[in-house]
Amino acid sequence: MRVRPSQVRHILLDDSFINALLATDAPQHDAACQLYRTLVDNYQMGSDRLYGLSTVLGDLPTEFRRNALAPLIRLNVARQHRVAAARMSTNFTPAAALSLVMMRRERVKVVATAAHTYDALDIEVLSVADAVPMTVAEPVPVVGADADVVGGHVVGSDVVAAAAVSSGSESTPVPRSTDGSSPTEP
Amino acid sequence: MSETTLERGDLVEIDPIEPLQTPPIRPTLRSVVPDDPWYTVRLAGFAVFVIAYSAWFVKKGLIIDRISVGISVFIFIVIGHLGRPLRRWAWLVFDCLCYSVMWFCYEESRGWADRAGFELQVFAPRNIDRFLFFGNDPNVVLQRHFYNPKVIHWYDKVASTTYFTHFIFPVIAIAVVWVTSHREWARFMKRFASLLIVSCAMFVVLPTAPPWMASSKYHILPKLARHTGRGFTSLGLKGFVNSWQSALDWGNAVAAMPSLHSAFALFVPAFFLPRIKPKWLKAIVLCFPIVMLTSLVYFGEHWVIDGLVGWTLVGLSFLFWGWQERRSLRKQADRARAALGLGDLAFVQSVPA
Repeated sequence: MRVRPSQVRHILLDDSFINALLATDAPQHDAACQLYRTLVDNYQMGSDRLYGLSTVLGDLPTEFRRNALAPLIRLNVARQHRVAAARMSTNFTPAAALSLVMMRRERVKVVATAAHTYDALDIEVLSVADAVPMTVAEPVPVVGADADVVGGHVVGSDVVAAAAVSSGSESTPVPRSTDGSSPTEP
Repeated sequence: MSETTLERGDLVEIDPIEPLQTPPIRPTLRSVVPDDPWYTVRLAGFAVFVIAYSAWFVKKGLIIDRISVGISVFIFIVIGHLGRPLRRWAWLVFDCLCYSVMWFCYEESRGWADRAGFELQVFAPRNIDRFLFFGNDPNVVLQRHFYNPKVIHWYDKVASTTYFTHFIFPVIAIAVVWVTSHREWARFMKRFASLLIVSCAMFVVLPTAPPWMASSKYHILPKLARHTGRGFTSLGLKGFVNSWQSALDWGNAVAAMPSLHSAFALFVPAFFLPRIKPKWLKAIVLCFPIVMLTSLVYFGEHWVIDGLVGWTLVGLSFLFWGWQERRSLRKQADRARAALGLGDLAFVQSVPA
């Protein structure tokens, strides 16, 4: 089936997604591979166009870049993009800020990621971050002042940090009840 | 269910109206990422260019000669690259070199055509046209029915203007695609350059006398008027040809086969056709090459077969590069699947989530 150019999705594969693809021991590796396979199928049909930042692709092993990431179009990051990224809000990591700058400048509307970095933004996100359940193996003995205990799980700043380390990503904001009572378990 | 009668002065308890819960507004990419400061500069530059080009068109005429056209395209593209990274400028220099070489070869081929000495085709195109039109010469028939040397009809103006769009439409398309997407520009130019190369080869191998020459020089057709610019000038318009064109004039009068006027008139709409959604607009756009070929035949500039061959070359160019691009996509996708072991659907589905 022929795809109309206006229907082609332009998708940036961010650093967390590419790292998840590369690292076979990463928790999101399988989910990333599965999503990447769909993207590659779409790429072959011409309905998706895949992009990667030169800053990310340049750090990868050549073999991986040339084969596994062969469909990716390299978006060259220049000094002006870094400057624009540096001017952005501190809510984003430098890598995420750079990805967002390149997305806007190159008119890329979709991002594939293995993190929750872009959840707060009004952009289309293909995420494999949720593939890894955010569970805590052991109860954390010391709970911070801003933490709540919900259904045996501890939800708070310490656990958020623990989850971020375990999955290599930032945490999903915990849904809060609108009537001001304690948060319910998702 | 008990009923309560309300009287004046009774207090009625009303449930408080809960405020409407609206989902939180998420910031857009536009609001998070700072604007490109050069964007406004480029827009202003384009506005100035359009005004200057229009003023030139009104005052001195439509820029026709290749060098002036090349200069105007170059200025447009430079404006489009203002504030872009250095790497984009490096690509621009490389692209300009390729573009210049392409047109230089095209112009040079006219000289090669003269030196190669292949036999001039005079009767063959006329015979083919007669075969296609049941023994009639379309050039002659059109001029006999529609051409009046004393009157310039509306269709003379339409035909003449259509003829002159050849000098701006492809160029505008190239410039716009060049500025907006380098990738699309490469797709465009692959097809365009292929068309030019094959056409040049045909100009050398198959020199063909156009109908006006077949009429005036070889007398195999009744007298044909060559009134191409009449309608255009009647509109108060004119063509602008700078003096350097005379120094570089390698014009080949027997380069009729294939008709690049017809080919370009199909090429540009064909490239942009997938981007056009309304079917009625597609139909209108596809009428343009038909109007162009009819105009060329009416003016005695080309045989019908010249235009048909031009269209065929456009079709072949699109088919070839479309196939090549699909093949490239397939190969890259296969490499990715093989490298990550994603080739087999069953394998992928068996991967635990």
